[in-house]
Amino acid sequence: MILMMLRLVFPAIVVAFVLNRAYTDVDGRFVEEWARAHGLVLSPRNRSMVHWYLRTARILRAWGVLAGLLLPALIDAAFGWRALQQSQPFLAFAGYLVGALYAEVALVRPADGERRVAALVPREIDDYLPRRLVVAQQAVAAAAVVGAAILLLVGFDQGLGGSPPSRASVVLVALVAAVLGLTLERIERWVVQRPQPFTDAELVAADDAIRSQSVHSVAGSGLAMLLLLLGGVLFGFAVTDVPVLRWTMWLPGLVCFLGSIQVCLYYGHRAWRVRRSLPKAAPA
Amino acid sequence: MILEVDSRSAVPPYEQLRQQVTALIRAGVLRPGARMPAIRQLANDLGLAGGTVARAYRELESDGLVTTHGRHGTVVAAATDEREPTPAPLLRSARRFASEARKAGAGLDDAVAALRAAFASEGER
Repeated sequence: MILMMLRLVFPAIVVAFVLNRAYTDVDGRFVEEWARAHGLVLSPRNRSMVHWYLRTARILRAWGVLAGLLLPALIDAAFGWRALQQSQPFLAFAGYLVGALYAEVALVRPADGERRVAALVPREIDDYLPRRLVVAQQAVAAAAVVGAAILLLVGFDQGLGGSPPSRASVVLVALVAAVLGLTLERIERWVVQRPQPFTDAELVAADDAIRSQSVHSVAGSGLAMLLLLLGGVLFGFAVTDVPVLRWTMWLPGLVCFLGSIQVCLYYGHRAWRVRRSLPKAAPA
Repeated sequence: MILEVDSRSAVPPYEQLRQQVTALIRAGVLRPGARMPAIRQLANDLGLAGGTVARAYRELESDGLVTTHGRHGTVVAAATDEREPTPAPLLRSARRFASEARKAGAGLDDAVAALRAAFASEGER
């Protein structure tokens, strides 16, 4: 009975905490600190855009995380299907990513009246995101695919007591890692290339800061998902019949699990000053 | 460096883009080696089809003003003898005029309007 109560009360507390935090108003001081961290000078024109984005992104990301955490339990309650129960952390990060993307898409960038204008300055992914993060995504995805392939090749020691992962689940992990590895950078490029239909310096600076935040949220949660997949694969080696793998892989697996939370928090909320290289004007 | 497309103009959008970029390159504002925005970026920002911007870039490339390096994008081409650079005396006069117009508090549009009026009055003489 107590256990049953705990299973209901604990998620309710988590939901209440997350929603309370999400709907706590983004006050002027928070906006100013965020702007300062991004090297952005606030003005009456760009302040409302930044405020709207920060509030909306926070709410949508929170709903995304909650959807990821609660979906398996709801599916279990409705259909008695428990296969997703172990995927809760992965789905929470996926929900965070979807929430961040939705906030980016929902942001209305004010056009310059009837004029169609554009700054003749390239927007590159490297201006908005450290290259090492993109490389890390691809490296972790590749490691998860290779690890899953090795896991399919080695045998399992039935005498160890642990339950070996099914072939289908290992293949699924490899497929999801491959898809993420191939699509994350495309999604990030898509965010960078989204319209910037104005040339006013104040709006461009605010837009760059917001875009950078969106790309970082996507990259952070994407890398977190990949680390969870890799961690799962590495923990799969704990029941193989190859002693060296059995004894060495659990530690990096643990690092991956813990690191997933760290990268999502660190990159998802990190202030990154956009470093677009403006072409030099001709000397006067 | 701002590009502007007038959707009500009789001049097709790709030609408007070509003319503006050409003017920026000829005036030395866009210098050799300067990177141009990706076609998709410019099309998104201006609300145009990708093909329209691609056509403008193709025309600029055939004029020898830009070069495209596959995935590395489009860059302003190195100056060649075939190009007709703005004559140095004319550039000097233009800079003097721009400086005086700025001191008088005039914007670019006002300065260009004044120049047009001056040209028109010269023609009447």
